[in-house]
Amino acid sequence: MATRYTENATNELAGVYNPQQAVMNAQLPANQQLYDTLYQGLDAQQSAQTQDIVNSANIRGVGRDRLGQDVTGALGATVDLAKAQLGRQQAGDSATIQGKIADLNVQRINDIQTLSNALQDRAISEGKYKQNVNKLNRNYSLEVLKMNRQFALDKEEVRLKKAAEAAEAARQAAYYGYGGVGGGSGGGQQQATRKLTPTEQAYAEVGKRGSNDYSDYLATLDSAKRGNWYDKLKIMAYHDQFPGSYGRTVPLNAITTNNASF
Amino acid sequence: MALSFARQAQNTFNPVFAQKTKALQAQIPAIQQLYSALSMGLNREAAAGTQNILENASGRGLLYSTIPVDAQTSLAQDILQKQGQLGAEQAKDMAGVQSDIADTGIGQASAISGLINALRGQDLQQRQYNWDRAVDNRGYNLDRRIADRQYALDKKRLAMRY
Repeated sequence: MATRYTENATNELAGVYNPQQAVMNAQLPANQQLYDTLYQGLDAQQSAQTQDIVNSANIRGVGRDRLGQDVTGALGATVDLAKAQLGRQQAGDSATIQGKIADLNVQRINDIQTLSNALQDRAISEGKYKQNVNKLNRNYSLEVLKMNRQFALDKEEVRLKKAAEAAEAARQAAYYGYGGVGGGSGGGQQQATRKLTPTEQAYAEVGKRGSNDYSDYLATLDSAKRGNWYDKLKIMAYHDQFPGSYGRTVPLNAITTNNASF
Repeated sequence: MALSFARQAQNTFNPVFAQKTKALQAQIPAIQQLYSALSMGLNREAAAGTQNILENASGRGLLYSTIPVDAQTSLAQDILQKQGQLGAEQAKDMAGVQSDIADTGIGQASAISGLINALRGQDLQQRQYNWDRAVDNRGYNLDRRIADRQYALDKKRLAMRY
């Protein structure tokens, strides 16, 4: 219910309205005091004038009991009328002050509501801005995550594909055989449906030997340097399939020297 | 919820306007008292006037029955006219106060209505903001779950393919 904003607005405006309200509130007792004094004045005037009437009658030799009722009565009626006028005036003054106090309070409430709205607008604008920044960051992070996963999947797919090809090549090599260091001695089966290319054969043999057959690698490297073209293919296959074990860079001298027959 | 805003607005403004209305209403007995005193004064004036006519006639050796009727009639007409003026003034004063009270009531209703609208608007704005934020968060969580599932599915497919 937006209480927080209303409370903040109330506190903000208290400094402005409290002094004004205090001044107006102070008018009420002052007004009351003024009319009390006026009433007292009237009473005193009535007493004094009654005394004047009595004194005047005494001087004229008229007994108190013979004073005309209309004289004191008229005085009393005049004072009553003055008091009634005073009462009407006091009620009017009081209503005016109370009205001003009420107007001030209404204005205060309206201002509090306006300020409360403004504070809420500002808070919501800030919240929206933060939310938008957060949204952008999250979406970006999600896209990066998706890309990384896709990349990992692609890598894994390549690895699996190569491993599958290597396994297939190895299977066929075991069936037909190819020459070279550690390779089949040639000959092999005669019932081939399709003969593997030398490159396929080299990849298959390397895939079969795996990533930690260093002795075969070194022997193959030596053989390749001496010009064995099939072992050159094997060296390339070693580096291509197992860069983690043998490195990505193929030793150029292994494949470029004495390669007339390659 | 609308009732809640109405109650809140009434609780805010009612004490303020009640104070003002009470002060305005306090003028009514004061007015009545004033005009009552004025009326009594007129009656007294009438009595004194009649007495004067009698004493004057008596002083001139006239009998009560032979006092000219027009003198009393004139006095009575004068008093009646003043009473009429007094009544009109009292009615005018009372109408002024009643009008002020009515204006205060209209002001009160208007202020309450304005505050209800303001509170409702404020609440709506806050709810809209909360809703938008929740939708954003849910959307993101959904996207994240979809991405996780898609990844798991892709991994499974890959494993099945090779």
